[in-house]
Amino acid sequence: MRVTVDLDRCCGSGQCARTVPEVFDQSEETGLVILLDPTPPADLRPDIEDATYRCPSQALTLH
Amino acid sequence: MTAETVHTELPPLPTTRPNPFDPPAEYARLREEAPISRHVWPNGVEAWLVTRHADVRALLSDTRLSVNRFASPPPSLSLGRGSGVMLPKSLIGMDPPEHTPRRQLYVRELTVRKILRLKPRIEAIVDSLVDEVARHDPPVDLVETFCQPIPSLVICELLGVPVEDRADFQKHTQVILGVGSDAGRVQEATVALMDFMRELVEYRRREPGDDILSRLAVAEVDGGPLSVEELVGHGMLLLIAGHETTANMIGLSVSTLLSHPPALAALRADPAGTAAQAVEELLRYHAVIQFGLVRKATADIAIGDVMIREGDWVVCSLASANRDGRACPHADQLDVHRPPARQLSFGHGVHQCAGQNLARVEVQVALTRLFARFPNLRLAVPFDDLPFRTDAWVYGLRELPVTW
Repeated sequence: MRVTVDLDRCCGSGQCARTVPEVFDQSEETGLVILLDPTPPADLRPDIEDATYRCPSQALTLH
Repeated sequence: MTAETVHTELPPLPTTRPNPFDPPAEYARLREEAPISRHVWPNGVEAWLVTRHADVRALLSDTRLSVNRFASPPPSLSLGRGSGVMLPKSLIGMDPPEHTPRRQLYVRELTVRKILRLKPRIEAIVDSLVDEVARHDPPVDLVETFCQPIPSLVICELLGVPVEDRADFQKHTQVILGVGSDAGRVQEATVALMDFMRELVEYRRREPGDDILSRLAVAEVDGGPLSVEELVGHGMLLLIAGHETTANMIGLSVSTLLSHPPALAALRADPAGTAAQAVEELLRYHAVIQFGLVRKATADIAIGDVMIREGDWVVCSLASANRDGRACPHADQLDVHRPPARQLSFGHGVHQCAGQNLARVEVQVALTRLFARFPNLRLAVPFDDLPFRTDAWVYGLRELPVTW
């Protein structure tokens, strides 16, 4: 499983950091997403799918 | 209005609730039969009403819909109390690209991590208010003594309002948000708050502190600082946006839990383990922006069976979307045990509430601390006598008399 983030789309709502803090964080400068783990363990897939759905600006992609 | 946009046969916007906790029953029929359909609003303006979860989600993240409502009067209730004072433009009236760098100045202050760091302060504020309530002889109105002061004191903290000014600050915000305030007093209080905010902005430009307003005052956007007027606009938005919504959500949540004993018992049995999920469900159950979010189409948009035309008003009903069985099973039931609800009460798209992480924690702390302190908390009037804000843009309770 691979995760990518699109900073041009991100609006810093923090839904990913709230849902899967093991994988996503937010920049102190911009509030935008920081990808902590681009290849997270498979057992996090449901949570990452949920975060992808909750992202208000379609900034996350799960490959 | 041009001749071809006059459709006198259009139905009026459904607004009648079957009971205080459920949105108009008509929404359920619309979701099945006419999920994106035109209605006439109380002020005579026509708009598309979007009622399904998936369509609301898609349209709120569609960049062809604008938040700019200045060119012509948007659909409204015309029952609202316009203050007569035009607030300076802020995030909620800006589309990208103007919106993009400014939003970052907000969201960096309200990240999940920063709100976690702030949580002990929120707990201290809530605890001191709970102590204050306990010093009264019941019955006590929780709206005035608890629900409204929480967001007010938290925003003072975030904005860096000096401690000695907080009483005045709270007094003015109470007038602005009070449903019973007359237009003249609202206008006076709005002007007073804007003057206060302008002074605070100018002071923080000279002497920045460790707060949002100070960092906004020294921030650069497109190579220059923001104007004082714009900073006043941002300060007022931060003040007002996080205030009325959060206060009303706390009041609604308290009254809902008092009316749903199993849900309250679950929260009381395991506050730490249940609060986040329970608040997520309460947010789904009650979309306090009860009539929805207003947008304007800047292009023709084909969606479902309809064609939204450039220039049309579009209202995305958050309350209906949250009760859509396609997105949430048995959606009309409050179920604090369901997996974290997929709710749209904070909106969707790049304008999704910037303060949602803060609001969640404020409501969670308010509920857990209040119910822990008052094990016998109950309504001091029959449920049917509770005064709900049926005609206000932000739904909630005018008063919440409780005893213990």
